[in-house]
Amino acid sequence: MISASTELVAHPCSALLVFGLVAAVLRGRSASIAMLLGPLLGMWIVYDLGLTLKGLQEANPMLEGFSSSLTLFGYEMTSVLVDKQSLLFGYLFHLAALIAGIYSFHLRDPWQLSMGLLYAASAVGVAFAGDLLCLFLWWEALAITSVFQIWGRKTDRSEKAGFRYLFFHVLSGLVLLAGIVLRYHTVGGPEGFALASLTDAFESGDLGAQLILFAIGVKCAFPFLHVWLTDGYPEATPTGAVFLSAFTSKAAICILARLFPGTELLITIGATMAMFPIFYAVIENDLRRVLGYSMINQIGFMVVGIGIGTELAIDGSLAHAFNDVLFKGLLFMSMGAVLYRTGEIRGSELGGLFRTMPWTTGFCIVGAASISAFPLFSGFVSKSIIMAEAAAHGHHVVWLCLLFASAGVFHHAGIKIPFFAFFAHDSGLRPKEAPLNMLIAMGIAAFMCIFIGCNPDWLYGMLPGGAAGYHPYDATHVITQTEILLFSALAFTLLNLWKLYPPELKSVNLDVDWVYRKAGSCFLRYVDTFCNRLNERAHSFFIGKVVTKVNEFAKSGQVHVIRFLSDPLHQLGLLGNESATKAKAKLVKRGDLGLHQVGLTALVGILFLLLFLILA
Amino acid sequence: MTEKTKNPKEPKRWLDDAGNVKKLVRGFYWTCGLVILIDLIFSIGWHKHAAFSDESLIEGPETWPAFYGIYGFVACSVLVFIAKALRAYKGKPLLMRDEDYWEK
Repeated sequence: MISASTELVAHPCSALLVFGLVAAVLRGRSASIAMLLGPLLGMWIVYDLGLTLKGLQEANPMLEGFSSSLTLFGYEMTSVLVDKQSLLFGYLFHLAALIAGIYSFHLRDPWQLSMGLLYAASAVGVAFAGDLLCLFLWWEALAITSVFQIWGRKTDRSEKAGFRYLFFHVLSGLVLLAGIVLRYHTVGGPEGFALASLTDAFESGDLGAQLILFAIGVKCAFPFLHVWLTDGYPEATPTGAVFLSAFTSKAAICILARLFPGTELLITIGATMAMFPIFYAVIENDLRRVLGYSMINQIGFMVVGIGIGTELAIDGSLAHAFNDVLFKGLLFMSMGAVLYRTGEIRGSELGGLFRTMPWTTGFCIVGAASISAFPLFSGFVSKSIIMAEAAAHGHHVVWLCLLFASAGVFHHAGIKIPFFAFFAHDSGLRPKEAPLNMLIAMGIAAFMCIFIGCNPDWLYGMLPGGAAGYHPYDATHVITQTEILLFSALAFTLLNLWKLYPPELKSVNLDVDWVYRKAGSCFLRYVDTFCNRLNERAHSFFIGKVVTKVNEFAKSGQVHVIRFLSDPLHQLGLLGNESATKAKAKLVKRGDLGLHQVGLTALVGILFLLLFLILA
Repeated sequence: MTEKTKNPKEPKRWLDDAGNVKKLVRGFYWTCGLVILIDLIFSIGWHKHAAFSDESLIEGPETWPAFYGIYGFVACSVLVFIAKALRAYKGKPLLMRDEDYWEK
């Protein structure tokens, strides 16, 4: 990549960092205002960086980006890399932080607020990271700052879920570090830390690259590594889930697109991710967990795009990541509003809320239409790029899978979420409409969803490749997409009318977390009983029996020796004037009680040894 | 937080009327039919370009009229039946557990 080096006035995430710290000390409404000022100022910094890049590109059209470096502990680190991709994510994360800030304007918990901004700052740090070393630092910050959105709920369940969540993210950080160290070891020098494509290294079996992919895979919620998402997000606070849905996985997608474009394996992984969660989503009762599953499904599309690896496909993935933050954020916000107002998020307990929450219902439907990729909504202009590229490069099975997943996502996120929360049977709940600040935040996100859907060129213009040559609004595409969505809805309607649709039941579904939550704890119990019993047995045998026996044996040896020696010693007159029997009995008793001095015993021992030596 | 009691004086919403819901569903069926019709006319009258550039097995069917509609309908039905089977297969629970399963 061709890039220039410059000095920067401020790191792009510094506004979020500073205001995050400010929000930690301020109380009341002023902390909430800091939540708005931070992202706004940060957005301006990113805009300024964009202008600088444009200026440099006018001077040198070949230039793709510029970087700024600093030296730390003798290593030169590229602390900031500014190119079109990092700018795109910079804008995105600031916008998401602003929306989430407005959404949590009523919140008075300094931990959640300040950590929310620091979390956003870490995501911006990841987006602008210039090398792997720098990436690692922000990667760890991302893990630590995010967990407070789960712990903020202050229940026993959320505390435990937070620790499980943290386990995965700390694991991801450690594996990333191991990968980076291995890369440095094999490649050496600054190239080992370079944030360049590792696809070739990965495909030639380089362990470092494999570990790095694994670490990113944890944060991208690859199959079997995904449970932190569906376990943690539904336990977060109503506002926390909005923060969580925006940053971690999208920052990981940003890095995946930089490091592993065109890695064949990702196509299979992505298609699996797009497929399997929809089955779970259909039978899941917790509506925010349904959104968690649909999030994995959407990330699956992005991963497929990165796996295909053409410029257009990667543009599609990045555009979809951008849109996903907005529409998934919108859906999480609408469900958060329901949770905030009713204290309930289970589909089996909700229903009929459209009567008193009409605005939230409307915004939720906009989010649902966007995620389902209805024409004129944002999902339509980004998901279709990935599908078209999958087809154009002959991935037939994957294309069919993605088409299945598109129908499925409409089914569970597009219909199920609004239907079971706001319509379906009347639950009798009559909550108030969501607070004004929540409505404003949802309104902004809904506006963005429709705006991007209607003006795709606005988004395409920010993409690294500009989605060159792609036109979402051609007749074939609009007709076929409308058709597949309407007929998916038809299936839902008919199955519902025929009472074949699985009802929402009070239940949980087993996922991979069963391995460590049940099998793991069974293993722990087994080890506990087995090892502790072994310990008890060993204790009673060695301490209770062997030691006593050795003690008795040693003592009786002494007593025998005393018995043997006492008569000759008495005859020599060494034992005083007492009678031989009395002196012997006294000595034996003392020996039995172990009252002879150690020195005396040692002397006798040495004498014996000498005797043996002489006799031998 | 929430008043669970229904207010008897609550205004009746348009959607509360079962007849209106029926109307809505009927309108939806008509829309589906309309889209299929448009697809049919478009496929016959104009050129519907294929997603696949090479000569493949899917390329043909993919351009047939109503392919996407049928695929969507079948996909969603299959999805629902598999998901139901995942919940409990022949009366034996596979994935579904009681709500307090993790706390047990």
